Amino acid sequence: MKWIAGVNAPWSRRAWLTQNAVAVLVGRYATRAPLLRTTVDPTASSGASPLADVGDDDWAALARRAVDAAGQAGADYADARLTRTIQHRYPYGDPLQQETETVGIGVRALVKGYWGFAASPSGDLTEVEQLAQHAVTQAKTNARGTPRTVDITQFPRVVGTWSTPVRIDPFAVSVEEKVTFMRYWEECARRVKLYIDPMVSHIEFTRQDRMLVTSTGTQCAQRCYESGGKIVCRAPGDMSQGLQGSLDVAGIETAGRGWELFLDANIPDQIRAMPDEIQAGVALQKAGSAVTIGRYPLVCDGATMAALLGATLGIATQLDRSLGYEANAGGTSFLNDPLSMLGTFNIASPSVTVTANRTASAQLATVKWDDEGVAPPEYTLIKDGILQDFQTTCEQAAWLAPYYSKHGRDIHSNGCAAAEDALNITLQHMPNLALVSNPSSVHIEDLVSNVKNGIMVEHGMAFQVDSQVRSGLLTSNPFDTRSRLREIKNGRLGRVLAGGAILFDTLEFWRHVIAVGGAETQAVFSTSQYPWGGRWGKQFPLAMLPVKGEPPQATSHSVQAAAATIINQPLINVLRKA
Amino acid sequence: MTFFPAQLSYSRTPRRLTAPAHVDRPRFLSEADCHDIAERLARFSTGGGYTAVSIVSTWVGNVRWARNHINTSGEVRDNTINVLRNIRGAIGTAVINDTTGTALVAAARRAERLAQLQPEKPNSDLVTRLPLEPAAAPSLFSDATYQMDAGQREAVVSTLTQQAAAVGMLSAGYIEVAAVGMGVLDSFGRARYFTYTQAQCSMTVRDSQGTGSGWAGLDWYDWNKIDATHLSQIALDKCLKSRNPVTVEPGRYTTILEPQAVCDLVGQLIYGSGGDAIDRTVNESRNNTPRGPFFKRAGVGDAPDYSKLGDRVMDERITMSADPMDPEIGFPPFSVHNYGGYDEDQFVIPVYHPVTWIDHGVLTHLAYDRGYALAYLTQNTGLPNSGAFRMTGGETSVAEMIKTTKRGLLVTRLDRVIILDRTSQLYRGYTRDGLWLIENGAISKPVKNMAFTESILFVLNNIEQLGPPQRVFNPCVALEAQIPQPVIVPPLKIRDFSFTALVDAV
Repeated sequence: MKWIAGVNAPWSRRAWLTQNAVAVLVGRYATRAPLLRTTVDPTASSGASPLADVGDDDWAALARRAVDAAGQAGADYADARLTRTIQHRYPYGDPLQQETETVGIGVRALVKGYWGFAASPSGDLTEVEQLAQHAVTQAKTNARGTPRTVDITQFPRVVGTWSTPVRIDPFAVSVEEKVTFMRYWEECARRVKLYIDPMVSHIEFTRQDRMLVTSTGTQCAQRCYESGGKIVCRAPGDMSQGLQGSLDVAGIETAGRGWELFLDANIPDQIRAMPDEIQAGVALQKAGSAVTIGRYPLVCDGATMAALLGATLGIATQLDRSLGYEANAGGTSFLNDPLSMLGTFNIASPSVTVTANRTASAQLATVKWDDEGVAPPEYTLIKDGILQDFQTTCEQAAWLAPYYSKHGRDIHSNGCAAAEDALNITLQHMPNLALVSNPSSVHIEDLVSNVKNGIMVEHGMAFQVDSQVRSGLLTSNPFDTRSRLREIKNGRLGRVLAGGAILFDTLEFWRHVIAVGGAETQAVFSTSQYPWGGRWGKQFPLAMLPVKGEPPQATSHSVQAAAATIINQPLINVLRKA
Repeated sequence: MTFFPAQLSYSRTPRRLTAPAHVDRPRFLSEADCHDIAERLARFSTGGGYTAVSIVSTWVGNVRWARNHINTSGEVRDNTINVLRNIRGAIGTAVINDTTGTALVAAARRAERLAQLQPEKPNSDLVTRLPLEPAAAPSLFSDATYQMDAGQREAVVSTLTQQAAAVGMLSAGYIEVAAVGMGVLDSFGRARYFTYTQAQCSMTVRDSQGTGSGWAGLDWYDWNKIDATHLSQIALDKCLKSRNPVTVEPGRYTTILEPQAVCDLVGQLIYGSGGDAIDRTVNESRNNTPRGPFFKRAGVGDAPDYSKLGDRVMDERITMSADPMDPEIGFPPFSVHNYGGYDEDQFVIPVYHPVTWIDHGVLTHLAYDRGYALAYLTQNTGLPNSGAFRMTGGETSVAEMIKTTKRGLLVTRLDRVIILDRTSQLYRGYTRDGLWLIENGAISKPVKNMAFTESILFVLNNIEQLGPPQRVFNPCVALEAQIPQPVIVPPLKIRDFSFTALVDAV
C-alpha cells in the first residue's frame, strides 16, 4: 500500500520552520505584487528567464517589439501574446506532487487576408523580432492563394489590466499549509472510518498570466486563476461495492476562485456526514434494477443539463465548425448553413433560451478581454428555441454581416478568441454558456412529480457525441460518485438503474424539452483546460477534453443550467450488440 | 550521496549531430544542450541526493487549410523539462519549458521543497547502481521532414486544394512536420538521448451541401514517404462516391474494414484505452475493477496460470509484434515519461525492446515496466508497450474481398471509438467518411453512417479474409511530448460485425 507511505510522511518540523521563515522574509521585501510578477512565494515562479523575470513593462516591451517588427516586415495586422502558466498539483497518492511553470510568446501576423504564426518558449528582444519575421514570412507565403480579406477594423484598441477576483491567492499559501490541510481532511475521514482514495484525490491550482499587444494599439494584461480538486472518501473493506461505497466532496470542482474554494466548501463537516450518505447510496445500489429499454420522459438535473448543453449546442454553435474549418479536426456541425438558419431555425423547444458570456463570476472562460482584445459581450445564442447567433471572433463576425445588417445589428466579435497558451494560435473557443432558468420557482421535485413513468438523470455525462453533433449518449458519469440514473414511478423517485444510457438525437432532445426548472435547480459544469496530470494528462482519453484545431488545443469554460424535463427519449442498453 | 563511477554503467546511444550544419539556428535541444542542462542542474542542486532530468524538445512546422484555402500556418518550438530531485528517496519534481539558468535554479528549488514533504526511503538509490538497460538505436531523422519550410508546405496544399476545387468540392486538412530531441540524464552521468522527425498529412473532402465526405491520411518520420497528392485523390474519390447515402438497417453484416478502420478499432488493444489489456502491471494491481481479457485471476510475476500466456486467443493468421528497429514502423527506443508508474528513479522509463505480443493467434508476451521487472522478476529489463505495432495479414486485396461478398458493408474509418467493457474488450464508435453497401460482389450504393458495438476479440476470431498490411494514420501530438506509435495493419473481412444504430452525421 504505497499510498499510506506517501500520506503518513513524517512531518519535518525543521522543514516547516525553515520554509515559513523564508516566506516571512520574502513577504517583508515584497513591497508590491504587480501583475505578471510573482513575489509572494519565491518558489512559485522561476524568477529570471527573459520572459519570466520581467514585470509587466518588460513583457509589454517584448510584445511591442514583436508587433512592430511584424509591421515592418509587411503585416497588415499583428498581435503578440505572452503567457506564463503555473500549475501546482498536490495528490494524495504516490509522490507525484508537481509544480509546473511554462512560458511562451506567440506572434500572429496577417498579410492580405492570410495568417502566419510563430511561437517559442522564451525570447529576448532579438528573438521576438525573428518570431515576428517568421510569422510574416508564413503569412506572405500563404497569401499566394486566392485573394481573401479580413476586416482589420474589427480588431479593437483597449488598454488595461485585470485579474480573476480571488479572495486568497492560492500561490500565496505555502505548500506546507496546503498539505497540512490535506492531512487534516484525511484525519477527518479516518475519524469516521473512511479513507481518502489516493488514486484520484488531489487538489490543484493554476494561474495563467496573459499579455496581449496588437498593432491596433491594444495592450492588456490579465491574470486568470483556477482552483479545484477531487476528494473521494471511501469506506474500507468491501471493494466490490466500487464507486457506490464512496462519495466525492462537493463544492471543490474547478472554478475561477482562489484558496477560499477549499475553505468555503466546509470539507470537514461534509466528511463527517458522509458515512450515512454512503450507506444510503450502497443500499440504493443494492436495490437497483436493470433497465427496460424503451422511450421515456427524462428529468435531468442542472448538472446534467449543463454537461449536455456544453457537449451539444455549445459545440454546434461554433461558427468555424459550422462552416467546415474544423472538418479535418473535431468535426463539423449540423448547423451547416448559418446565414439561412439564423433567426429562423428551430433548434429547440420554445422553453429553451441559451446565452453566452465571459463575465460570470468564478466561471472558467471569464476574462475581461479575449485574445484579440475584445471585451466579450453577453449575447443570446438561442432565444425561445430559435437560433440567434454563433460564437465568433473578429474575423468570423464579418462572415455573418448579411444577417447582422438585415436585423440592424452591429457587426462585432462575440469575444470568443482564445488559445490554450501563447504557444498555440488563437482560435474560436467556447465561452461560458447558460441555459436560462424558469422565471418562476420550479424545484426538481416539481418536475419529477409531473412524470408518471420516467427516468431521472443525476450528474449525468454526455459522451461520444458524433462529429456533426447530431447524436450521442447520455449516461451516468463513472468518475462522479453522485451520478446515477433512477426510475421515476408515479411522480416519485424509485430504484437506481444499472447499465442504461439515453441514445439522444441532439435536435430531438432539445425540441422535446417541455419544462425548465427555476433558478433553484441551477448547477455549473466546468471543463478545465488543465487536466489532471498536466501536459501528460492530456494524452489520456478519459480526460475527454473538448479540443479544437490542429495541433489540438483546449481552453477552459463553464456551463450553467437549470434542470429540465425532456419527453420521448430512447433508453438503450449500451452493452448490447446487434 | 553515493558516488558511482558513471562510465561503468554508461551505455548512451552514440552521439549524433541533431541539427544539420546548414541550419542557421538550432530548432530543438541537441544532445550537448541536454548534457549542459543536466550539468547545470547538478550544480544548482542543494541538500544532497541526486538530480535527474527528462527533456523533450520540439520544433513543429504546420499548415492548416479549409474551404480550399490556407487558414493558418505556424512554426512553434517548445520544451518539456521535468526536473526530479531524489534526496535519500524523498522525491519532488518540477516542470519547466525554459532553459535559462534562473529557470533551472528555480525548478531545482521547487523540486527540493516538494521532496521535503515526502518521507525518505533508505536504499532507494540502489536502482541507480544497476547498469542501464540496453536500448536500440534506430535512425529516424529525416532531412526532408526537417527542411520542409512554409513555402514547400504552401505549394503542397495549393495542389491539393486545386484538385478539390476543380470538381466543386471543399478540402480541409493539416500537414505537420516536427523534429524532436529527447533525453533523460542524471547527476550520476547516466544519460540517454534520441532525436527523430515526424511528418503527417491528412485531409477531409466534403461537398458543399454536406451530403458526402471522404478522408485520407498518413504519417511517417520521413516526409518523402507521404504522397500527399495520392491521399488527396483518395479523399476526393471517397467524397464523390459517398454522396447522397441511403439508409440500411443496423444489424450484423459481413464487414470489410479498410486498414485505417482496423487500426481505429483493433489498435485500441495495443495503443488505446484498452492498451492496458496486455499489461501485467496494470491488471495485477486491480483488485476491485475488472481485469483484462488475458488474465484469469489475480497473481503476480511468475505465478503460473494466472494469465492466458500460451493460450490461443485469436485467429491463428494473426501475429502482432513491435520492434523499434523495424524499417517500416521504427519508433523511438524509449519514452521519457513513465505513465503513472514506478518513478523513484528517472531511469525506470520505458525502454522498448523487440516483442511479439501475439504469435499466430497465441498470446506470447504481456507488457511490464522495469520497476515491475526489478521487483518481481529479478531482471533488469522491462518489456513495456510502446503502442506501435505491426499485424500480419494475407493476400486478399480489398477489391477481391468485395468480389467475394454477397451482401456486406465497406468501412473507411471509425470515429470516437470508446471502450465499454474491459473484460470483453467491447467498444462503441461511429463509421465516418465513407460507408458503402456491397451487393453480389460489387459496391452498390453509399450508406448512411452507423454506430457499432463490437468486441475486438470477436472481430479477431471472426476473420474471413485478410489483405496485405499497410502503414496507416496514427500520429502523435508532438507538442505534448507524445512519442510516435506507428501502426501497420491489414484490411480485414469480418463475419457478423455488429452495427447498433443509425447516425445522421455525415
